[in-house]
Amino acid sequence: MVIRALDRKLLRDLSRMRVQAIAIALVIGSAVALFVATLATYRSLRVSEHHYYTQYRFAHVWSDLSRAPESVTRNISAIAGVVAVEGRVKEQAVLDVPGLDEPASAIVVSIPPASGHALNDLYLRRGRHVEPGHHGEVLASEAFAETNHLALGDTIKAVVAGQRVELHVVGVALSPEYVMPVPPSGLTPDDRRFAVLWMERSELEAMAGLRGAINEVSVALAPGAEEDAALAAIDQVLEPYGGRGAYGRSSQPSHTMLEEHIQQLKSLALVVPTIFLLVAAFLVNIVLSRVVATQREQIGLLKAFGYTSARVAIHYLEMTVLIVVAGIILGLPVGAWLGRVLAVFYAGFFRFPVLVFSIEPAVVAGASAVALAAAAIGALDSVRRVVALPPTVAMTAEIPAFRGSFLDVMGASRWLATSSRMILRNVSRRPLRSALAVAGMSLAVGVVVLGSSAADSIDRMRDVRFQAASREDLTVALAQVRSVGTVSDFRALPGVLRAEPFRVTPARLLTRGRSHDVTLVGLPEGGVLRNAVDTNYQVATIPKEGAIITSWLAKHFGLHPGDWLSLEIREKQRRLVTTPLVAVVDEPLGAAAYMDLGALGRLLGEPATYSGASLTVDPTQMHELNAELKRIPSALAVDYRRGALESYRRMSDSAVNFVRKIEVIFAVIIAFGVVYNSAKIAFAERARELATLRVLGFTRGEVSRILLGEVGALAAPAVPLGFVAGYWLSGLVAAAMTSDRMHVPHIVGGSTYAFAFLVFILSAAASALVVRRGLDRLDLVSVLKARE
Amino acid sequence: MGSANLTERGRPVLGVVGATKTYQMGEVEVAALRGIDLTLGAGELVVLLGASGSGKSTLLNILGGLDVPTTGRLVYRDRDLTVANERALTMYRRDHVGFVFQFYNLVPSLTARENVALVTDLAENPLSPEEALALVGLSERLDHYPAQLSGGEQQRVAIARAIAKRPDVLLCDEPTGALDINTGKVVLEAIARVNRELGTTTAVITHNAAIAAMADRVLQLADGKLVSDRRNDLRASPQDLQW
Repeated sequence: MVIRALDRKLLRDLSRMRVQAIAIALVIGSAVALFVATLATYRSLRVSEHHYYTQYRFAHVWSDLSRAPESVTRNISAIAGVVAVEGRVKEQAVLDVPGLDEPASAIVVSIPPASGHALNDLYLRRGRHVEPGHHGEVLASEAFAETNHLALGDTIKAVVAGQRVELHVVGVALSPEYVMPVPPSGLTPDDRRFAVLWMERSELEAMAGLRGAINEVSVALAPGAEEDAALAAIDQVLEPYGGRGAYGRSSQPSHTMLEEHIQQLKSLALVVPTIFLLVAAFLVNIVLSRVVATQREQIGLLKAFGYTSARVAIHYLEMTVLIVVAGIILGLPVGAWLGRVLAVFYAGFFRFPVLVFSIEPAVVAGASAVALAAAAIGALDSVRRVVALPPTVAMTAEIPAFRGSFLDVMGASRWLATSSRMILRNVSRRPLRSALAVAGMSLAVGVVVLGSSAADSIDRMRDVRFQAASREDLTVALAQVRSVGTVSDFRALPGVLRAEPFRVTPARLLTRGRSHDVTLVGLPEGGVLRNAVDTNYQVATIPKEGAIITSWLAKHFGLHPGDWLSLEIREKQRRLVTTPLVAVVDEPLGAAAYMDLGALGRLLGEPATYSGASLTVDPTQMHELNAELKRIPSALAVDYRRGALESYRRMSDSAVNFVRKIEVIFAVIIAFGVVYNSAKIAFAERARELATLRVLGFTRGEVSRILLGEVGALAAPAVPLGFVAGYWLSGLVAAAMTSDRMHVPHIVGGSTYAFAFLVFILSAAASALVVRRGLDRLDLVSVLKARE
Repeated sequence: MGSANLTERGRPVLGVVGATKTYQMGEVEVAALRGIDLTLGAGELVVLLGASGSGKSTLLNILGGLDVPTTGRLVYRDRDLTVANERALTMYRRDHVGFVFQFYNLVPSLTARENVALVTDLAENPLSPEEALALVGLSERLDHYPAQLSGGEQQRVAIARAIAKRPDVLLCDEPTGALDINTGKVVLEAIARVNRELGTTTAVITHNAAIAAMADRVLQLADGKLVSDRRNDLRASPQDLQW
């Protein structure tokens, strides 16, 4: 192969500007790596989820009901679009787990005899299946078994449907229904205190007093079947049996939470690398325009020799392409490796029985194409200038023409030192280029703010939900609603300092043909333990009549205070009630409607009742209280605020923060790349001038100050602007991560700004050191000899 | 420090003893200077003649503290600068040497006055920028930027910048190399005037032999050696030079 002279020039130019080229390649590589890693993880989780759901026959529709004969399933089978139905018995339980001081909560689910599951099949991780006739045998959900170090054969004391029983763990299982095992009353999985147990059907029937009957159905629909129609038909069938309202996967707690994680990953996969690539495009722009400016004469010469404008333009485009390709080559394997690490991490987090991981060619091609396109956009302006440059003009040296800056016009520069005037005029001579450099450095600050701000949002959500909105130590959910007067029973329990009643009712908000499942919460007047709190820690006042709803719901349904809410109550008697919307609260987690406890009772036709109590407890008597709670037959579930807080923290620390940490690392690389290039370009443009000053007797320190002063003059406005940019960008990401269950507040903490500032200053200092070294090695004689 | 007074005239200011300079160009060693002994006297105007590659620029750079000889010594008054470190050489340039280059090397972002102020800000007893520019006939152009000045004017600003700190030595490297003859004469006149009025020891290197007529002393370099050293009995006025 013949290497043409122009290609040699290309390679030599690149080798001369290699540090800058490497910096750009690293930025592009970071973006590509992040893009590939997150997108491949997203794709593989999607495929694995699909695989899991299909293989283990995850149902499409569920409905709880009071009690129905098994035969009702045949009526459901007859509904159009239904391909499989399974009737089950499901009970809540309170467990006394060996080694766990507090009572744990559980859902006990029936396993059909012999033939196995028609739907929602189990994946047996360890042990064996339960055997008919063997009393008290259960399979336990893996997360719970592992967290509590349960061994096969261990015994758990439990209160199931008001009866004390002993359960023996014979196996450990996974189910597509409980990928994220969320307690019925909770918001996040609590692996230590919440279990899913599977028990032989006839035994659970007997315990629950449901012989020959079921209290839940799950249904599989044919592909393409209309879910809404099926839901309505199922509701109709179950109406006489106390059907609580059928719901689809979009309301299934585990599925919605899993989806949320996967969707978040997708938003991260798209938003953040896009921002990184923008920065890369930007770097290409400033570096290439500098190269073109310094090579004016060469460009003119090449054209004078007869190279076409297009050929010369391609020469400079090739330079960009080579850098981008280097970035892609760096980024792809890192991305593939990181993707694998991420996918394995997530699969472990979700406890998928199988992980399907592959880097799809489309992901690689997409990442490469986007990187190339971004760089091409960055190169566009320079290439246009190459084409436009006539040979004769190019051959004459460009004389930098200076005018006074606005400070000169105002006469203010009189008070500035000569060197400060140089800095000022250099910066103001090419306002566009200076503005671009400032914008580039602002982006550098911005991406660091962006990278670390998510932790702020997550912390805020946690603080609001688990500190400001919940001040109790624990809540006890009751099996049946009780008269509000009985709340004093709780005050009689050991160590209880304060007990406040509440009412929680599952409901469905219906508006303009759309519906959304919400939790209707009744809070007592004058209560302090539970509140509706917005993302700015403002406690919402609960009205005497009417309801307040979360801002996401209001926005989603276009509801405003003064509108009427239609709520379908999903208790044993399904019924429609209406109540005025009084106010909106910007709550971060969950979709809830809050009402006064008394008002809710009247609305439900059960005045002065409550379904659970919030308690504060003297810590020294916690042990006694726990022992008591494990034995109370009326308790359906016990939730500890500390436990929920811990599990939320564990989850946010592990999942999203993992991606975040990677982003912060890449953001730091980008910040350095931008700052280094800005300093380097300023140095290259001033080399001759600085050498002159050195010859005139300026010391290295004095010359450095002029150069670094110029970089500093560009960097100083970049910091506040970067804060603004970062705040804005993090808003984009917060919005992308917001879902119906989670309104990610747009929070950027002071420490995030401080961190971004620190990263920026360190990048600037490191760049300054590198440039300073260049200054020390400046060849005074040859710089002076050369004509500009 | 400052201008040599007339009683000092002719006393040694700056010189090299046995100076050689060898450059390593890849595998080849190139000798730019092959043993030069030279002393510049106070107030002298010396023209160094030589063809391209004769070593005259190398000699000037060594005299100005921009470069160091491979062997031999650089002596400024009673100080041996051969052993001086980088910082000491910077201070030597800052306090005692004025440079004028072929391509002016003005700072484009500063006006004529400010370009001079750049140096006077560093000096202890400088001329004011206005005085220095008046000396080279640029009183009317104080607030013009380099891009607004002709080549000759730019070179005169460079001269004003070089002499404003009252250096002991003014070193000029092909000061008229980029200029036409008439402009070149104006620039040379400025150099002669500075030498005359401030008594600054001045060395002008050029390949243009015609310029030699304005000097007190003419040195000829060839192939890294000093091949002739003669004195002009009468200094010609730059206006009378022809080339």
